[in-house]
Amino acid sequence: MGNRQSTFTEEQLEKYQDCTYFTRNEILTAYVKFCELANIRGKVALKQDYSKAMKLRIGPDAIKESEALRENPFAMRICQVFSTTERPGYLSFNNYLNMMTVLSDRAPAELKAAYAFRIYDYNDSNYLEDDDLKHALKDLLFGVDELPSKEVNMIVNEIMREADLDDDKKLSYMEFEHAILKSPNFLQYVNTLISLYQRIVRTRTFDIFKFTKIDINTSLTCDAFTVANF
Amino acid sequence: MSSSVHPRRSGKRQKSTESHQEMIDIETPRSSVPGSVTHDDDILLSKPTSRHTNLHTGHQSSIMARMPSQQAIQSAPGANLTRKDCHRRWVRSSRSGFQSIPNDEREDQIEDVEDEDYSHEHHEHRAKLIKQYASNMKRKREEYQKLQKATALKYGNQGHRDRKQKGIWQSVKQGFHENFSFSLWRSHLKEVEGQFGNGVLSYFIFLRWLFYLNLMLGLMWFGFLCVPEILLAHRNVVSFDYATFNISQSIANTTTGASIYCSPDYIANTTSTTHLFIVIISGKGQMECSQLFYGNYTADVVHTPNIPIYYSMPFVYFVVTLVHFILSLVLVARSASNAYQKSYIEGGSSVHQFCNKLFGGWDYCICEQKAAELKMKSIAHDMKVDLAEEIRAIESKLRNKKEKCTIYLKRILVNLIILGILSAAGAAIYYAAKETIDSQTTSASSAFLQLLRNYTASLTISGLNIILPPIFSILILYENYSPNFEVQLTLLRTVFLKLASIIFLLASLFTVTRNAASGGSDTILCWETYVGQELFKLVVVNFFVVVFATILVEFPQRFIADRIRSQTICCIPIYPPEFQIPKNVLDLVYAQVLCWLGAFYCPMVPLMIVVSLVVIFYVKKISLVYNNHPSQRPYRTSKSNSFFMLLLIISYFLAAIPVGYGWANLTPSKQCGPYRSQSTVIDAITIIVKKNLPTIAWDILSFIFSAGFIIPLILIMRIITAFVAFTLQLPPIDIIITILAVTIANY
Repeated sequence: MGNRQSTFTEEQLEKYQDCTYFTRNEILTAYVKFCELANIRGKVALKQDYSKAMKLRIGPDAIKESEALRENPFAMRICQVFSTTERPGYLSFNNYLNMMTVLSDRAPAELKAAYAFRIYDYNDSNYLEDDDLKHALKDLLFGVDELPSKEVNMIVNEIMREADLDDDKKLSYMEFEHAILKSPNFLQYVNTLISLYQRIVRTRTFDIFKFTKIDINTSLTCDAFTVANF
Repeated sequence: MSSSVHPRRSGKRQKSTESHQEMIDIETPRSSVPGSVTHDDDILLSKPTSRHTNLHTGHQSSIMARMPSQQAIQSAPGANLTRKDCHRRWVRSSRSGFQSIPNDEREDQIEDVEDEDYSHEHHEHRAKLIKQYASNMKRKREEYQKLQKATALKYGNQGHRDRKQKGIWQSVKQGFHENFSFSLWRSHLKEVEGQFGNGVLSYFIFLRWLFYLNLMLGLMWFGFLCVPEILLAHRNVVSFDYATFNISQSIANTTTGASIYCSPDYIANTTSTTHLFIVIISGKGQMECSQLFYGNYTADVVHTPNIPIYYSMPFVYFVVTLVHFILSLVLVARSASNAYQKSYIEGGSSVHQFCNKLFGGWDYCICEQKAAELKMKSIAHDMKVDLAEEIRAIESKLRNKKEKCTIYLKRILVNLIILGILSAAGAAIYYAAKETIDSQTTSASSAFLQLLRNYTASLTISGLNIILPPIFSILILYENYSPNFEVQLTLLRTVFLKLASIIFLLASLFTVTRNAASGGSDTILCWETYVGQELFKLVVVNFFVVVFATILVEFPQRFIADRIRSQTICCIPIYPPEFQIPKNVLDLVYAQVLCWLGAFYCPMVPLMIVVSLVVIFYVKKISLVYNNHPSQRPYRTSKSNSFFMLLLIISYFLAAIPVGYGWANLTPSKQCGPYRSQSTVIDAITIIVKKNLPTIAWDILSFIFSAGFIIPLILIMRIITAFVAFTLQLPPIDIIITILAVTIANY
């Protein structure tokens, strides 16, 4: 049957399906995207060996070029958190898939909160301290003029006042989760363009195996409608 | 260490726990062993999940262990209960499609591989939990393999086959959803959401919801009333005489059914105007006798000789109106409760607003630099606004007495002024409506002037709706409120204005009906059609105002704002246009009220509103995309949604109560409509129902609708709703029930 992809066996794809929130087509699309970031064209990517594919790594600069994370102020931290390879900050395909599934809109809030905590914990101390918060604020407002330090201190104090329940001047994971899961924005915003992939899959469902060219013409949209209560 | 941390594990689980612990001990955080060579993800997770980490720190683990919930779990019955409860919760949550398993049980259940009655759902349950596990791919695969081994042990191949079959069905369903799901205007909405955010999107979604609602209602009106009226008008109609219950042959078989049923004077009056445009716009002349208005519908039970069709127009008219109101109420109440629940959840987060902004503020879907800058600016702006509010709150506590007095005085003065303005507006509307009524019976010099006189009331209302809200927003500057509250209060006052204008119009129409009952030469012959015409005109004017206000205001505004650098013309600052969500939503609610009010008297109003909504959607969207800049201010969507839904409910009652009152107390006009020559609409329906039902059924029905049954029913429902509200901690909706009951019991 034509250009059948030969990288993954069906069993392997099923295993991926069991571990992530993606469907089979989405996993394949994610794989092709990953290879593109690693500068391998789609056609060639699908013919690679499994072991070769597993050895591919993409570095932080390549990740910063992908549409999903291009303008994200926490892109570097995200790379570091999701990477479990020998070089910190470099993602393998498994790491990439894990990252995409956590950031997709099917992942539950607790999973996102667990990773969000690690992302904001800049010094890896398992607590969010003042310095972590200041660093996060600086990264978040990277493109605009600096907030005066008095205001930054006020904001950090307010956050501590709101979320620190045991008054130890730092936020543990439980306090963070408690604060974040009440936030209406969190689940809605921490989603990436997985619908982008879905759209590609939808248009190319019948020639999923003929990856000649994926033209990702994006508009800025995501499927996370929270106002769909009507 | 493991025993102190997990004292609740039973024997078997202890084993797996310890192995689990071992695995964690092998892992070392990368940061603590910088020089170590960690291979690729063939090894286990380098950073344990935060939950484990926290439980490892002695401080919190000891607190956790002392919690009553944890103590309960330690005991054997507690452990069983937890498992059952978890399963029940999982089944419930999987039905609703959202994973809500708290973290505690999650870790527990992952370990529980051997000692369970192993049903298919349990397998799925654990599979879902594995997906949720916050670790890397390799780890998840291992857990899954363990799970599969256990399943294979218990069920052999059959379990696997079942899983596969279920998988096929799931994939078929998913394929269907991926390829064939249809949602109206989806690409437009996505574009709006991507560029302008959630607040503006909520307006367009509200518009689409109203479109669906009105389409449903409009098709119902059209299908049950207009179509039969058109189809059956040419048949041999058999006239139904209410008074004597005789069925007599029709007077004559003519081309337009109207001419039998409107008295000759009426027809002469209405076919005098000839200009087509005036006819269409003002709803007079030929239009008046069309299906558009109430007056045309016949009072007959139509009986054709060959095919016996009994179609009781009065009855159908009444039933369709009832369904119209009840269906609207059900749908509006349902989405109002949804919106309220959402805002209730979000309401708690006003405590956590800064956490919210920092941790959840960044929208991960943004992938263009301009949008990213805008988002950052809006977050920064938002934080500054919140900080300013905090500072303001502190300052206002420190005000001294003199300042407080002056501020309160100013506020009272402004409120009085606004009250005066509203009453003046009401009086203006009343007199304008009177002028319109006069124009029905007298005629001016030219046709155009006559048209203007016809439109006096509607133009006055729309004019006031345009002029007054900016005045309100200027006046509120003197009252020294916080910016959020200013916006809300201005919105509230605009709402009062719009509702008050409708009430005053209804008051003037009420005088018309009074006059019609008394008779005389200068009265309007078919008052229901007149009411229908007034509402028709209001709908038309509202539509044109909205469309032209958008086109004629926003395009020039952007044009000027782009060209002129200093952005002031004669000291009036011209900003690039911003999409004002509250004002636009109010327009939609107003149109919907007109629809509810007008449907009984002008059955085509819902379809007209459907058409107008479609046009407004495209006009607004195009103007938005070309002209507007995204608003800097954040928009609390769900709070505003619940407010607008509440507004919709209040307007619903504003529309339903006059119609109900009209049914019960106002005499239908003698020359036209399905209920001519009856004392009230309710009486007519009573006669019809009584005639057609067996006596027993009629007795039961009359008992149900009598006072003796309704009052205990109200009491019981109050108790039930109060109880439900108490358990769910929602606001008491028994007020709504009471109002409903009062209207029913009114006749």
